[in-house]
Amino acid sequence: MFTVVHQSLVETMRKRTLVAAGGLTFLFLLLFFLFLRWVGKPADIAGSTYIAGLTYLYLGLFAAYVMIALFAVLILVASISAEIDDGTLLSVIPRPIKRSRVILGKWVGLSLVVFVYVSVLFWGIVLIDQAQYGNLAAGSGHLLAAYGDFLLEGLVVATVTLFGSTVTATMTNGIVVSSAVLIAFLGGALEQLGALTNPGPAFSVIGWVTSLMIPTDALYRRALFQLLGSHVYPGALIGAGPFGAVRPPGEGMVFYALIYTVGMLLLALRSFGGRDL
Amino acid sequence: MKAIQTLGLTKVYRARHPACDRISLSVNQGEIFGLLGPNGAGKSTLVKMLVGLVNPSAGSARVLGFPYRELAPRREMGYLPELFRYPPWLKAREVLQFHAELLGKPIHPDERDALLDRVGLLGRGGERVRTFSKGMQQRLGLAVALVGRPALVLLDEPTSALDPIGRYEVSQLLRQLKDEGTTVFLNSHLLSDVEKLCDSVALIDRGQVIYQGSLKDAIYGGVRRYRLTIGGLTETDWAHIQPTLSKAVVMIQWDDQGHADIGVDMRRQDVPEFVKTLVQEGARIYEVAPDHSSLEEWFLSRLGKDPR
Repeated sequence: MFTVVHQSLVETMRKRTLVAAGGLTFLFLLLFFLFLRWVGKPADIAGSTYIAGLTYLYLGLFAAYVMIALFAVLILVASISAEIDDGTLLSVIPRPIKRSRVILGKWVGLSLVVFVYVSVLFWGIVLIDQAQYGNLAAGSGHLLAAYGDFLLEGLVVATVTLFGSTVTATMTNGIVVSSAVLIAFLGGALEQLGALTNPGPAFSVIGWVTSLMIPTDALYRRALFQLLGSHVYPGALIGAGPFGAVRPPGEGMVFYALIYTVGMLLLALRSFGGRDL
Repeated sequence: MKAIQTLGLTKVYRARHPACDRISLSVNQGEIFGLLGPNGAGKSTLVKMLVGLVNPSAGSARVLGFPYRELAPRREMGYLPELFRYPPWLKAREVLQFHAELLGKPIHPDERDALLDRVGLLGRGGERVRTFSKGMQQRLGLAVALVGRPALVLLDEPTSALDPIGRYEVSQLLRQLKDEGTTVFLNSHLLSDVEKLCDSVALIDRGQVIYQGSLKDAIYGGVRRYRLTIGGLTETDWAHIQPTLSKAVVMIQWDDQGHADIGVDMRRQDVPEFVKTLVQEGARIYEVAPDHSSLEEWFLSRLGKDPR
């Protein structure tokens, strides 16, 4: 299996995926830094520095949420399907290696790449924001929890995309997973909107259903709440409206995301194990 | 022990006509075995089942004495797919290294270079696959199939992308492998290659084995058309001789110098007697040869196509 893990990492480096993504991420972080440095100066009012710090952190994390999902989809979307189509796997599977090891090797290798990407992006945004506006009120525990939520978001998207790659064509897989992430975000936005304006349960149900479909949005809003919730600054996220996290998902959603990930991985193992190549 | 032994191996894709229908065949160790058949006959599906790429619907097989779905036989087996690609970002020697690691058999750089030399790629090990021509990729595929000194190699159209020189070199390589005791399972449309190389063959049509046995029996076991060039006789002489011949002459063409090309349908063992009769009647025999490429004629006739 470690041969496949190693091969996946070599592939990422050789295809310059990581270099390209790293370069663009660096560019993003540089622009974020410059924006905060010259544009995002708060007015000279008491507390405004604190609010500006939280606001721009929120914007940065929203960008990170979208970029992580896109990165995870793009890096895994062709992991199996394209290698079946172009015949790369036809010379690998006849070797004395179980198909499950091939899937697990790809999953571990490419998930590591996603983790590196998430880490650079998340800590880059947090540290730039912190350097500009001073210490965040959220303690290190909340910071690590938010980091964990983002890692899990990347892992969820990566695993779903890997599963999709074992059952459908590359382009179809990319469209389906990207759409699912978008739908989950819209569902989450409706849920937050409901929490702000509508006491009825319908909006909440929509949010739950879309989060069950793919729990990326729930993890994002949970991470957002860890850093910007009412425990940090009362009402900080109310201003974000449907894009905020007034009603954050509980720990149950983290467990669900973990189970969801394991389930998707098992489905990938099962579908690839029985597939004719 | 047989190198390959299949018993009723069947593959049905989505309840259509079976791609492979109860295929039972055996391949002896150390021989070059040719799998023949028209397009869509089920040859590649059979090979893919043997190497674990396609799951069978029914039946069983043993490869090198092991149940074929276990990993054990794959440690002693090399495979060249018909349509394949190696990661274009890898160097040729890294492809060999990767497959050696998958096999769990470390490969020494000298051995790696020897393999590349064997397939005509010596000195190209440091080049990336993306820079290779199709023929070079096929040569690399052969080298990959030979990583770990396998006891059995399955080659699916190994010369389809090669020029005549490449085909000749591969033929030589397969003979060397046979001399070294390696069993070669060759799936090829190039009947001339099969005829030159194989000890035994199986012919598959519509998913079923319609012949399995030695190549010699296939070619020489039945009636074939032979073309003879004769002289020393006039057309009048011929008219007297013809009724006395044991075989019917189905075609005759005379030229200006009194030579004739005649076509006779007979078995191989009847050829000497027929020639002897002609000589006794005063004919001079300039040439006796099968009318068509032997295997091609046999192949077409077994599939219900008239080779003439």
